[in-house]
Amino acid sequence: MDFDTIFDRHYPELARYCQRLIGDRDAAEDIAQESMVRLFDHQVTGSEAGMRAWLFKTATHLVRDRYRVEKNRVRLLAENPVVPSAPESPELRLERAETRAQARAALDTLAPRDREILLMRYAGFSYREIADAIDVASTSVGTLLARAERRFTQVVTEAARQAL
Amino acid sequence: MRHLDEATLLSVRDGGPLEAGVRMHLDACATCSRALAAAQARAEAIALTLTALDGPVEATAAKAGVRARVRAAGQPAPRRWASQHLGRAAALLLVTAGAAAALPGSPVRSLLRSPATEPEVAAPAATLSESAPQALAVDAASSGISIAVLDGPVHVVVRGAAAGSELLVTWTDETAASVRAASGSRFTYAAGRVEVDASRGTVSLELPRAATRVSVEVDGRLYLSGSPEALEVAGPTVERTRESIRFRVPQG
Ligand SMILES: [Zn+2]
Repeated sequence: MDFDTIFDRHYPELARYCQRLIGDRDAAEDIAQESMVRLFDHQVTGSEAGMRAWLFKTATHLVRDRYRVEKNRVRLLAENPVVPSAPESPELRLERAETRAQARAALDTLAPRDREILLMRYAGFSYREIADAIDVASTSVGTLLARAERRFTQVVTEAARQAL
Repeated sequence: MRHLDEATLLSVRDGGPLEAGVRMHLDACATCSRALAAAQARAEAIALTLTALDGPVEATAAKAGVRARVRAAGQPAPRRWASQHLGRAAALLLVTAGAAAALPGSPVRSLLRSPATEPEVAAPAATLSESAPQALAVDAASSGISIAVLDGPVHVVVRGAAAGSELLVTWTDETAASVRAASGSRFTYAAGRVEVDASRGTVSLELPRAATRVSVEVDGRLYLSGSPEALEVAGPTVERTRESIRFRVPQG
């Protein structure tokens, strides 16, 4: 596969995963681009699914490395939310902004590893791929994911209730 | 009867291997099939909520940037690259001279404001700002920005360079990359990347020797790329020494 095909197929989704993970658009794109550069530099080959998993794993680790000592920065960056792309009605935009703030707040209450598990799962990865990406036993993924989902849902629901 | 635990239910929901015992239990147990349906509904709600976090992705610009950074096939990677983390790259933004006046508050505060919401720093006539304690002394006819790099990648994009104008690249032992251009130039910054719209005068870049990777692109043409030790210079050079490279922007 050539550069363009690989890039077009994986980059947008990878960038969105990074946006979800760190909440800042520029930082997210920077991480996604760095991951793509490394994919080509390391001449990673194999199946498309394998390449995709490699990219997400690399991005996840880059985020960890970058923000390990900058926990607060993640939170501060999260206050500058990513803007939605599609044109929307004012009402819809407001509602979406609220949902976004709630989702961000809920993600930020999760432990970093739980956040990674949740976001990788909702990017469509299997438990085994998740386990490999974030260094946990694949038998633990279900339990950790259940905890992350419960917590996430609880915080979002609570925030939505308060917003009424 | 012992019910299925949550991890098992989620694994079934998410398409994991389904053991015969589990399947039989689900067929027989209303409690567990309700729990499975609830987990399914929860997954749909979470998936929908998460989409609120998805913003636009600038794939075209990103592709050009990545292409510029990917080294020519077959060229071996510098050894230090493998063990390196991007983590320390391009974290802090310092704004010098005129540009500082356009960004109220401390340099750190300006970092924490989203570049996405204020991507451009229009540099007015330069006056050294006292509010920027780490501002570099720059001559009043120019302005610039400086980003801390440590050992990460640095990408500089110059746009609108006039034919015949010069681009001077100097290597530095500092940990910051600086870009300076005539007063009135516009700067855009993001982690590890600086873009400048410079319509006149010399553009000066100071790039850290410790950067893992640098690239300089002028109006869509790659002038240099690679690591400081293994550099590919493709731009129109007029002078090259160990310390610096001077380019002259050609006609057209
Ligand atoms: Zn049961």
